Amino acid sequence: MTWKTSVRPRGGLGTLALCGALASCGSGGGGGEVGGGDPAASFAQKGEFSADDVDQLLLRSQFGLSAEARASIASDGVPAFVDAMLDFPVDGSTQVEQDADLLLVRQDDPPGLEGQFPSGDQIAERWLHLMMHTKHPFQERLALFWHDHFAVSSSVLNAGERRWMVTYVDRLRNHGLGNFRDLVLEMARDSAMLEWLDGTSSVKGEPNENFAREFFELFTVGADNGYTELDIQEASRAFTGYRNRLDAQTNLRHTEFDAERKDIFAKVLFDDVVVRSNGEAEDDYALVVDATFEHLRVDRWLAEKLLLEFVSDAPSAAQVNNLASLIRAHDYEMRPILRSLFLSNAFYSGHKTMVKSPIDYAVGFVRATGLTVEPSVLRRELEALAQVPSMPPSVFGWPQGPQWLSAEGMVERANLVREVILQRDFHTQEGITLGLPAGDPDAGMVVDHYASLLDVSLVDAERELLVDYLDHDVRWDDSLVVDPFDHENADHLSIRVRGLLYILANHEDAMLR
Amino acid sequence: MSTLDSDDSRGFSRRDAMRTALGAFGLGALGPIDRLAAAVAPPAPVPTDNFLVVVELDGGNDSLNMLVPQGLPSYATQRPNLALPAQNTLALDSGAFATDRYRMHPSMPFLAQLYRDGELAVVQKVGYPQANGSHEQSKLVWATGQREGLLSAASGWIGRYADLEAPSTLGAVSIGRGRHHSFTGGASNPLNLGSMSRFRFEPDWASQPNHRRRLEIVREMLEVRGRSVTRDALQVGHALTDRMEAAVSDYVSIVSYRNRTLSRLLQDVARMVHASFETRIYYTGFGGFDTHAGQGGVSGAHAGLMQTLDEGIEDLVTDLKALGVWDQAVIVVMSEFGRRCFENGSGGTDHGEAGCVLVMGGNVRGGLHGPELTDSDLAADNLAYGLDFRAVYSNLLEGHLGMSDPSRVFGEAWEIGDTVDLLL
Repeated sequence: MTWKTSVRPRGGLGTLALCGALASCGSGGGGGEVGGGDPAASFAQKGEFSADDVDQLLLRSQFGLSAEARASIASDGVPAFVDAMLDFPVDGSTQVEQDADLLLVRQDDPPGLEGQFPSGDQIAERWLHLMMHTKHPFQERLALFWHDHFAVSSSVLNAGERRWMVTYVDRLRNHGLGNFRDLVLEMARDSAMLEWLDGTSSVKGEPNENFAREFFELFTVGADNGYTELDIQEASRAFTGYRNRLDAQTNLRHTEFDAERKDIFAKVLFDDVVVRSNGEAEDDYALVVDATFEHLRVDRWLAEKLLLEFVSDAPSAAQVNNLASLIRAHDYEMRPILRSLFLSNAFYSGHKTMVKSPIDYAVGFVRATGLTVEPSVLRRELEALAQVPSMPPSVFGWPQGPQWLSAEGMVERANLVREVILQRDFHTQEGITLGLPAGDPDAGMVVDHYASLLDVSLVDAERELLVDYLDHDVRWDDSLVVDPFDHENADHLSIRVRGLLYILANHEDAMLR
Repeated sequence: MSTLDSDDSRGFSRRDAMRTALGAFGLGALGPIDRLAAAVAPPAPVPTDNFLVVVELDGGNDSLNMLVPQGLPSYATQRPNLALPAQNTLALDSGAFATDRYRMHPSMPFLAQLYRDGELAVVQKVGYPQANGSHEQSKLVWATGQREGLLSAASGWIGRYADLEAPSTLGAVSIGRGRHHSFTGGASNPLNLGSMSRFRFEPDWASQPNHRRRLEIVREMLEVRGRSVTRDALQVGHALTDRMEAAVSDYVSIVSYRNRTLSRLLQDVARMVHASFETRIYYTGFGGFDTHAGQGGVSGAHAGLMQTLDEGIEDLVTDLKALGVWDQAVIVVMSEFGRRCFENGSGGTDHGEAGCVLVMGGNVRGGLHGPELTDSDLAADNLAYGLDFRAVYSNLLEGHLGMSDPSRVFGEAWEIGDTVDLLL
């Protein structure tokens, strides 16, 4: 095996010296960690888990906190919870999934083709429905991570193609725990991806470099990490052989392999790796994927992406090196990699140090409070926050971490929460009283209960303000009248408890995970 | 995010604390607000630094249909159906910069007059090396000011400018353009607005007094806490909504802005100028310019776009002149690319390369700038670029915004060496 080192070093993690990683190359995930015993860089299993650790796991692997999940961990422990969350049904058979699929249907769908012509908004709303209601939030969370990694937007697909986006999303939802190499290959051949990055217009003699460039730069190794412009040209010749065809009967389009369009000559990658074509029987995509995994540092790029999603907005070199070792040791099998990650010292090394994305913030609020909304409402609000699932702004996915902390973003987050608490009619069946603490709660208990659910740590002065808020009526002239909170008073529930949630959701702690 | 002073705001009243935060963020003092006086008095000159307004024509404007070439036979042969007859267009042949080389689209009487008045510069054949015909990619080139390397990951030129010269949230403001790429990448996080009136904490209709109380508590809680990047972002959001609200309610104007896309957006610019915001670059624009089919002639789709542009500019320029800040203003009208020289089979034009950039203001040197348009230029499929757009921006950053070394924003373009002199 030969590692290709960076040919044109540039800023960023991608250019960290490889010697640190090489020290542990091939030595397996458990041993050979660099970083001098720094727990923040150790992927060895953590011994004990505090209450804060439990919340950390939930905030970064689910959407928001829940009493049920906390109770489940209290009784069975963190490892059992992690094992359970990494085990979700992947055949689309759950009731929530079937309900979600109904959101794809349009009134004018031809008989027998119901749900085959969804709009971009419908596709986004189907996914938001899944995120809000699923019993397996990590499935959606992981899919969202992969979606950002293999970013494709439904915006480029026409009516006959748009259902490809549903297939694309479901591939990420259902295959995200398999082998990363397989996922890369599956994404490369995915119809939405082929259309998005011009794969269907890449033909022998006139290869289109769009996909090949992003394949290296975004999907496998990161910019300037051991490949050159020449490799992009060679790989683009190998990424040929697909066409986009219209079925005139149904007006549906599909992509298919077409040997006529395929370049069947050998290509040379990475200076000296000769890739011989499979000929006309099938595409050569797997050959490029395999060569890339064999000769370039895919482990480091995947490590960096996983760290940015789950561990830190600014991963250290030691973290990247050590997680890369772990990835190699598990040969890119995502389930054991993620299991180790979620049980590691590194994962629990800093609490609430990462910024929530708008989707995380929105779905987390809905799930933690039980105040569900129509997916269309959430989609519109997320539009204002510039993060609609299935519509990333570009192939580079969404901004990350602190980039979400814009002034307008903070105002729009408040408006999103306001939109959710405004849906009073929608909640009559599943009223907010369901979320109140049991018994005969007073204002202080209600404050503590929801602060805990929204993971807001209140200092005394803040808690006083909130208790005071619950115990007062605000008159139409803005004057305050003492009127102690009564959990059986419908107005108190409708106005004050919703108001409390609004205030808590505007707290800085609520922006972090 | 820029840093706050080290003042601990605890112990201040809410208003004091908010003012501290505002000042520390470079937002300036709120200043005395005399609504009564403002409501009855005509607009008085507003103190303001020089500022730039960029108007983006989204989709690739057919600039050959905006400024119609005269005396170049290829124009008519390339566009047998689309070419505008001279008698239907507006003359530019009077004033200090009189020219008979172009006439203007008939839907643009205001801009034609501005040219004749010597306050409109037409910069010809503006583009960049190795034109990219993708909307997305070409917009990225314009937004990043880069042609080489990984564009989506590159920072925006306005983001870089703001970091260096105007590092506050209001240092640059985009209006109605979503999260614009030209604003990204810097540390100062300049503001992207939908519109001023939408930048607010929406009320809870079921109980507006209670909602006001909630917001009050939110703000009080922000003051209780120590500083953090997150808290600072929240606090700036609150401070800005207050300032926007005051700016909207205090604004008075002699101009009745038209109820059209661009006029509405540009009125927000005037509101912020009127409120003496420290904003140095305003960025806005509107779409519809991707005229592949049926773009029309004297009337029709492109004529409507030209009218919207002309009316929007008229509204803003009239307002800025009345406010006494026309000499402080420079307005730039650009598009991600021009269109093909020849018309296609659908009565439209496909993606091209170079186009005209319009620059106007009280201190702008009017007339024609950039390399001359020739008949052989028009005989080609694409209008090749003759002047790098970054030379236009650099000239304005240096000459109008007083930036000492614009190569710090447009480093790559410095090697290209194009120059233009658009200012008096």
